[in-house]
Amino acid sequence: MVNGMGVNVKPKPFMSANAGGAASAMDFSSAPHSDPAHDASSHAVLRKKTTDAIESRAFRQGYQLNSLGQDDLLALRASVDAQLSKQGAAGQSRAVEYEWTPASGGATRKASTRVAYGARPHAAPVRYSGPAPGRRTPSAAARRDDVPPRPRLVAGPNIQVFSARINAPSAAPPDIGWGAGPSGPSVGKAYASKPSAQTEFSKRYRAGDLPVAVDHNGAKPQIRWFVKLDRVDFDYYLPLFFDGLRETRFPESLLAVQGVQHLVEFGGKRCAKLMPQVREAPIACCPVCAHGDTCSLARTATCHAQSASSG
Amino acid sequence: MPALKAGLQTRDDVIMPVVMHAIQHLLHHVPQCGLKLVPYYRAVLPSLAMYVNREPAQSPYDDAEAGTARLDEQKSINTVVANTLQIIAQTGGKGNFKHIKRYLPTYEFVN
Repeated sequence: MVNGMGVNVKPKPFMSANAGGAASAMDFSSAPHSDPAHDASSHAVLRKKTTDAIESRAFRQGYQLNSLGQDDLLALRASVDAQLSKQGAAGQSRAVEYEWTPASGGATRKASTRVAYGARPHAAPVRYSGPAPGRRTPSAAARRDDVPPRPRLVAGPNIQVFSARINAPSAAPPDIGWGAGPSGPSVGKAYASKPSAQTEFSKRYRAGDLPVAVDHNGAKPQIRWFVKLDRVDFDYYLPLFFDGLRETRFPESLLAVQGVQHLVEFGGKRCAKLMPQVREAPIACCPVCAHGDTCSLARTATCHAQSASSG
Repeated sequence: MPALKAGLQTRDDVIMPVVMHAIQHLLHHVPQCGLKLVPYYRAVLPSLAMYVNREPAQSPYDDAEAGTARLDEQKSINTVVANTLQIIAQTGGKGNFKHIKRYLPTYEFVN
């Protein structure tokens, strides 16, 4: 790149010396302001870094961006953009000083974001106050005299409008089941129906692992077993079908209910494995009743309960 | 057993009668399971206790149709719960009434 003096000058990258701090990000004195082509090419970079510096400055001054609001941030960015475009069109650098007051009503502290770049001692600072320049839509606050007009921006080539709703209305309260009328007293949360996740039965059925299918040939849909029931692994399928009782959708609910009925009617004593045995009691023989080691009830709490009640 | 407990803890008007009917079916066809159910009363009975003798929260006279429907639903659930408790008490053995009274203090069983 050749400047007017005819000396080949390698342009310095912007903010090459800063360490990421916001204060040093304001310093653009090393930028070659006399070259309009360079300004035009790095305009986007300059704008990006300037807005980043403004945001970080706002953070350091104690303002959260959420409390500022997107409109305020957009006003800042738009003002920076307008000044930059003006500066790029004029082809000269000016010391620009912003004084900006957040339009949010909740902010009591005055936010004075001073951005000075390309500062020269002889350049007169331009104070900017009030709403950002740019296209505006009239708002209700603009018609009032005591409230300064809130800048509202629309999407443009250099402006990105965020559709963030700070105070979004909350969702409707969930329905907690029967007994809770619209005018009646509220029912405790213990009675609320708790939605269950997808059951293992449903997963296995969707994967095609169950030996049953729905038989639509009759007047009412029934289930049909692919294998004989004496070949069914009760240890695996019986808890699975009992787990499927929680399903309310059609294929799984029908399969679970009728499958449990068939398995229970056919299985008989094999269904007793549904109730897992309690771990072996610390005393193998019940001291109260006459059950000994040979009694299977001695290993459960049932024996002690029965013996305590009978004895 | 974890499946039954999970089904009863859904507190759902549709799921709970289904699970209770399954328990009745199991105890009717496999009475040996009644004894094995005794250590698990702690998992089953609190869920049933919430529906025993429970009155509808809203008077049926406020809204006749909706109140009546709710009352019918309540009565149906109460009936299913009472039948399930009766079968559990019948098949649970000799000493299980004390355990049922532990979780249902107002429960009376007439054999």
